[in-house]
Formats: sequence, C-alpha cells, structure tokens
Amino acid sequence: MSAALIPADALRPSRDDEAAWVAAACAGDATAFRRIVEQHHRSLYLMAARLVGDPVEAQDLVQESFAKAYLNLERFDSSYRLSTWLHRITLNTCRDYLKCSRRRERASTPELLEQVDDAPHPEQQLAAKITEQRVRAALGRLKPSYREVLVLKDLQGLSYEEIKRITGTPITALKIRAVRARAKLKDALGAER
Amino acid sequence: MSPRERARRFVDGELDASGRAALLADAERDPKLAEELATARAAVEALAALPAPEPPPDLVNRAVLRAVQRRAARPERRWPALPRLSLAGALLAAGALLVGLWAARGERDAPIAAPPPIAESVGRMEASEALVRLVVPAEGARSVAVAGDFNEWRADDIFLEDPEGDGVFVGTLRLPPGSYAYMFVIDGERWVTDPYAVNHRDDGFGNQNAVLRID
Repeated sequence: MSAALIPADALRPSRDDEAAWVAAACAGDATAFRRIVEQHHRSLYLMAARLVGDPVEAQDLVQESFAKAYLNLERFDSSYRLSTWLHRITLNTCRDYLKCSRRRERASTPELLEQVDDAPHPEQQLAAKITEQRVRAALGRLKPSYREVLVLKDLQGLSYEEIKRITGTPITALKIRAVRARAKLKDALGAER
Repeated sequence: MSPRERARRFVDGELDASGRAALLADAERDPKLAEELATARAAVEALAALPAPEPPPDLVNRAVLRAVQRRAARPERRWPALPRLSLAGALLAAGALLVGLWAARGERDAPIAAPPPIAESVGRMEASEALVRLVVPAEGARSVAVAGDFNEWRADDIFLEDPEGDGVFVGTLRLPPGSYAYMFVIDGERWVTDPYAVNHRDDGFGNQNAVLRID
C-alpha cells in the first residue's frame, strides 16, 4: 500500500463551497452556518487567544464574532475570502474587548505550576512554561497595533497582503510596524530577565 | 536599502538562498546590520516558542448556538416610515443622496462588511484620476507635510496623519495623470525624500526628490 500526503489545499473547501454555505446560511440554514464555524473556528480562536492573552475570554470573543457574522451574513461580499471577513470581525471584537479597562486580570501562575507538577520531566517543562509566560507577558505589554502585527504575521503566519485585507492598513505601514514591534518585544524580553 | 529593512526581509522569508547568504556575509562586516538581524531574529524566535492553544472541543457548538439564538432574536427588518416631504424637500433629499453616493463611490468601508479595497500605492478611481497613498515613518515628529509639484511645493498645505500614534504618518492624495516630484516636510523644517519612492529626480541642489508617475 502506498501513501501520499494530501495537499492542504485539497482539504479546504473551495470558494464555491463557501459561497453555497453562505447562501444557505443567509436563508436560515444553521447546518450550513455550522460548516462555516467548523472551518474557521480554530484559526479565529488562535488569533483571539494570542491577542487578548486569555483563553477563556478568547472563547467568548470567538462566539461573539460568529454571532455578529451570522447576523450580518447578507452583507458579506463574496468577491472577498470568507476567512478575511471573519478575521476582520474577530479582530474588531478583540479590539473592543481590549479597550475595556475594567476587564478582569487572571492569575495564571498557580495553574501553570499545577500543570507541570505531574509532567514526565517537570524541570524542563517548568523552564519551557516560564519562557512561554515571559514571551506572553512581553507580548501583552506591547501597544495593540504592535501586538496585532506580530500575532498576525509571526504567529498566524499570514502574508502582509492578507493582513492588509484584514486590518485595512497599507503594507508599507505594516512592515514598518513589524520591525518596530519586534524591536520592542526584544526590549521587553530583556527587561523581563 | 537600510540594514533594518534588509533584516526584516531576512526574517520575513523574502530572500532566496543566495540573498540570505549574502546578507549573513554582510552582517559579519556591518555591525549595524548584525544588530538589526539579531533583534529581528530574537523576537521571531521567542514568538515561535509559544505553543498554539487548542480551542475547547465544545467551541463549535457554543458558537453556533449563540449565533442561532442571536439571529432568532433579531427584530424583523422593516423599512422606516418616510417623513412627509414637500416637493422642495424631496428634491433636496434626492440631491443629498446623489451627492452622498458620488462622494462614497469606490468606498466600501462598513465596519463589518468586506474590507475596503485600499490602494497601497496607486489605485484607480476613475479614468482621469488616481488615489495615491503615502506612508512615511517619522517617529517623534510633531507634523509631516507633503510638498510637491501638485501643491506648488507648499510645506503648510497637505499634512499626513498618524492615526495609530506610532509615528507612521499616512495620507491619500487624489491626482490626475502626470509626473510629480515631491518631498516630505517634517516639523515644518526638515525636508526628506520618501524612503519608499521608486522613482527619483535630482533637485539641482544635491538632493533627490521622490517622483510619482501616474499613467
């Protein structure tokens, strides 16, 4: 028996598939909308969790974003990628959340220690977790526009062209911002030591 | 090209194998390039160490449930009742609508609708004009103006904006076809060439003006 890798593109729905789901969902077909959610929730959750630095809040923000999308699906312009539109809605939802100064701060250290206590190599796991927390804390201290470009470019792996479509920011400005954001992140990591 | 921009291209994967090798060789001799490269790499590598959080297994169900409930609770859409208008009022309203449509042509910037087609450099608006987007990094600047052939080189006429407050000034010009030399004027006194301009022209005083060409 021979096996071959299936190209990732082959597993993705085509634009025609997505257009059919959108049309059906607009007509009130919740199953079609569910397909859209299944297709995009992972990427949107990843972005939200990294932008707000809180996995629990990220769940809520992604749910809220899909609710907004379903309410406004008739306004979706199918000449654009559905993923771009959904990322844009989620980004705006996360921005609104981050503007709220009264959001609850979560203490993560006790949870962290609990997680690594039973790990096979607790010392290595703890060191990795501490590094991870330092990076997350440094990322969280960046101004929102810097954090956004690092999340979308370096963590989500999107192209500048895709980020431009999501944020509406010109590519040149995004590149300048990426350079500055990386320098600020390195400074913040240095200050953490 | 600046060392910073070269380092960015390296970490963003925009160089081929020979470009990367050349940059690494240059970094051995150029401390500034080496520093920019180390900074960019340190940040990108630190971010790469972050694990990708997995969404909870019930997220799809929760998201669909909330969306369906929200949609079911949406009030039925009705056209608002039109106020009674006199003939003159109706004509004025129709005129205002036409002006609004004319002003909004080519723009689709609804908050949730599809993203607007923003032109990065030159975007056609109509047969006789083009939109030109200018971007200039000027951290710490109080003001950035653009002066050129299109405004008689006035340094107090067209000011760019810094919407994010991060020192990146942007602005959009609407220009008819032609060739336009221009410079940025920082804080009303420092004239600088657009660092991202593709075309340049000698200004006769030892400096280079940037040049926009719109066909």
